[in-house]
Amino acid sequence: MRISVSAWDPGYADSGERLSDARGLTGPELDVEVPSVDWMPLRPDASAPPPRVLLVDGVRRLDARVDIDVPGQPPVPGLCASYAAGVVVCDLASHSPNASMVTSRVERGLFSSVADAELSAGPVAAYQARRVTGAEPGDLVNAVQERLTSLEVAVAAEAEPADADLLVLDGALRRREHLRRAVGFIKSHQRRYLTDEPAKVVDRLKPGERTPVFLLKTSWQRYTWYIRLPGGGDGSWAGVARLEAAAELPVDTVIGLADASALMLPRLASSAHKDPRAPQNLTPIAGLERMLRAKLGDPRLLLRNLRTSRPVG
Amino acid sequence: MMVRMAEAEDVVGRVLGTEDATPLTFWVAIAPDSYLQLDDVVVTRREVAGREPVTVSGVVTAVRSRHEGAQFDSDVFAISEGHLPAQVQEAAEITVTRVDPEVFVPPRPGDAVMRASGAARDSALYFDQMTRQIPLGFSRDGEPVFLNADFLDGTRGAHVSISGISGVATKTSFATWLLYSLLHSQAIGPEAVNTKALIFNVKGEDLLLLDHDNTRLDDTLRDSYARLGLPAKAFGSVTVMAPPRQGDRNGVPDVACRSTGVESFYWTVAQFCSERLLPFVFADADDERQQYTMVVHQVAAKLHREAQPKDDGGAVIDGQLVSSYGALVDLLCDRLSDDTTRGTWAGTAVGLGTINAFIRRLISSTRDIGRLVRGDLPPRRAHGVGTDHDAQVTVVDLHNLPDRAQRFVVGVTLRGEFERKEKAGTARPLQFVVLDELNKYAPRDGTSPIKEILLDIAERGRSLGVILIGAQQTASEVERRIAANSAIRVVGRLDPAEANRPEYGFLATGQRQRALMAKPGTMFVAQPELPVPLVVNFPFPAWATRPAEAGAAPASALRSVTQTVDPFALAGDDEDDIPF
Repeated sequence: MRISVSAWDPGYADSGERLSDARGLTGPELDVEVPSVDWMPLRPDASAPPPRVLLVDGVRRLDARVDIDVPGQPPVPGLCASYAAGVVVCDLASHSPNASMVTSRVERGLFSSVADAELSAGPVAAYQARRVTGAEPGDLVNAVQERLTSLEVAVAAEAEPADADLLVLDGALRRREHLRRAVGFIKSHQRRYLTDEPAKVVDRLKPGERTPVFLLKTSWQRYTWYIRLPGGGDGSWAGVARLEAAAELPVDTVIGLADASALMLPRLASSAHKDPRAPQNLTPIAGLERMLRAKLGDPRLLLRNLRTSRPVG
Repeated sequence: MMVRMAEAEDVVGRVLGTEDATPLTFWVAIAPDSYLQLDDVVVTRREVAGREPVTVSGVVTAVRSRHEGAQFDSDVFAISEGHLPAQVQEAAEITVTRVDPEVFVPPRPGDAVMRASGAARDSALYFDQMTRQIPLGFSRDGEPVFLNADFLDGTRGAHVSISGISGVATKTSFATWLLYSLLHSQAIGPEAVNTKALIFNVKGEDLLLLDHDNTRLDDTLRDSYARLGLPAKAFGSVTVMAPPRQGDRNGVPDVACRSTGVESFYWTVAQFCSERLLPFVFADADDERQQYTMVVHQVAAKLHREAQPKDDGGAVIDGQLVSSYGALVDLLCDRLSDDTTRGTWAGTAVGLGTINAFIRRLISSTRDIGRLVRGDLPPRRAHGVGTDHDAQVTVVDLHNLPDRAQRFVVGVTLRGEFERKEKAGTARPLQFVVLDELNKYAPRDGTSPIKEILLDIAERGRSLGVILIGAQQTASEVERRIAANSAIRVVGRLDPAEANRPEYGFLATGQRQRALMAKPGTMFVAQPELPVPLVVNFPFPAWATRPAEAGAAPASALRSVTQTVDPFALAGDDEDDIPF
């Protein structure tokens, strides 16, 4: 028996897969890139010019829980949240390689079932009303996450990737398949999609190698492949990430994306002493998250202003 | 906020809010397409409720840049390889020089900071308040820097203290440059013509060519002099005095680099006796711990009483003709060793041991002082050191003299000048004294006749019109009262251990570090009006500083040495009348 420790800090929630995603999963279609009998680790051509990598991520912070009193009705719970999404472009090809945040957006929302509940926290921070339909306690948090996801989609569209670029989205690709050159980057594995021989190919992956592309078919269809990032330890799944691309794309395009991702993402992998989510949490993502968090503002100041403010409406 | 930024002329950044801003110092985040370097002058304005806006001006005393968004030192590799997004941010520390009106409020984070130029710069550095400006040189950004003449000529302050290590600090060059600038600018008006300067040259023959044009003077240099409002030329009126050559019977000046326009200086035996110069032979003559100092003063008084001057500068003492210093020493030894005369020469109740201590020191001085105290040279030959002649600048060459002789010359000369000014009773015209190695003449510990005179100059010189431009390697070893009386303090390159001493407290922290690597020609000048010393690059001298640079000798220097004897002087002699 072998027990390998995942490099992941267990305290981090997983934004990757949900078990429910795999409902109704039939066997994966392995013969997309190479026949299933020929499955083996693939290494991309390192001599090709490195494409630009656009990485999209978002951060959120729950600033305050509020109770909203509407006359004649029982108090309604609400949630004040700040969230931001941004795109960082890593251009390793140019003579002066650089990573820069090209676009970002910050929003603040008061999530509740009341349509016009708004709060202002100081001159530059206003929590806009976000109506949530569900009544369960977890629904408010889910609504924040939903809103953040749509913000991520918005900034990813703003970034306008070029033909050769690689647009890396955090987590599964669901509902973001329409973005150009987009791949979903799934950092942890709730379930194994491969069994038997193909699964051993994943075990045999060396850093910088990927499995052949295969097609997942459930209630949805997506092309997917595994890559191994450096620093995760050999043989375990600790350094393995899964990537997804839209099933509507031509197979050649998907293979191009898979090669680009296997070429570029291992270079951007983080090291364990700097990031508890190493190596899957990519270095630019960590930098982007820090910059976005800085844009969210000081939580204590916001909370103080929220306490002293009055509803706008 | 955008409107305010647009109306400003040259916005270089904004006051940052991650460091405290105070009315005395604050930090500025520099805009991406701008820069600030050390010594740049900036200005910012802020609104004060119920008052007029306050203008805060200052000088950049530190600059830094850093990666924002980096957590680990190694992140710099990830950032420069394009893996990690981060921002390079530069920031500058501003030390406030002026708050106008004087409402001491801090600038507020976010306030736009402008590079000061023209009137704003003059105001920030108080140049607008200096009615009489002496050009000091250029600041790092190439703009002229001035000194307030009020603090040099005694109006509101006097004396200059220049510190720095030997060789690279260019202390003497700066002292002569300051004199040149003072004499050639319009700062002290027509008075400049009558102003005198006495320069002691202690190292090499650097200062003996002040009246020779510098052959390395080119148009660039002329242009920089012109931008400071000064002509680029040598000192116009210079007398060089050097001690007589050792063992030379004719008293030829001991100078290698020039043969004309140099006179030798010495004192006659008669002068030595009548002017009581004996204490200056002993460096520690006023030290109360020494017993023999009593004898020194007794003997000096006796010589003053006894000596009868003779024509050739010698003197008859106690019935014996003395025509050289050696003979004088012999005479004194003889009188003091003899039991019958000892009492009248050394005073009563002086122990034999004390007498012997005096004799021992006196004999050892023969070699050093012998060539300076003469009784064998032609009478009426000009020989004294002083500024009471025509030349504006008098250079006294000491570099060939041993230490004891240097002290003797400096002590006797300074006393003479100080007494002359005291008798004149008026501070004008001014008398400047440039003296290097002040730590030798006025050390922090102990007393000596020279130190007393220098202290007198430092404390009373301002009202008497005697201005001391003192230079030393280590200000910490100079008498505190002299340093404290200097209105203008100048620092060149400093020794690292020296730079941390409290004597340099006027330098900002960053400036102390910079002083360790200051290049020749760069000085930190502190003047009373400005809270921050200014960094000044003074131009290369327009006069020669070594024989290789010297152009043609000026006409005034072409006189031969012997011509300095006035051929008609004999005619005015009453004793020896015209023989026909």
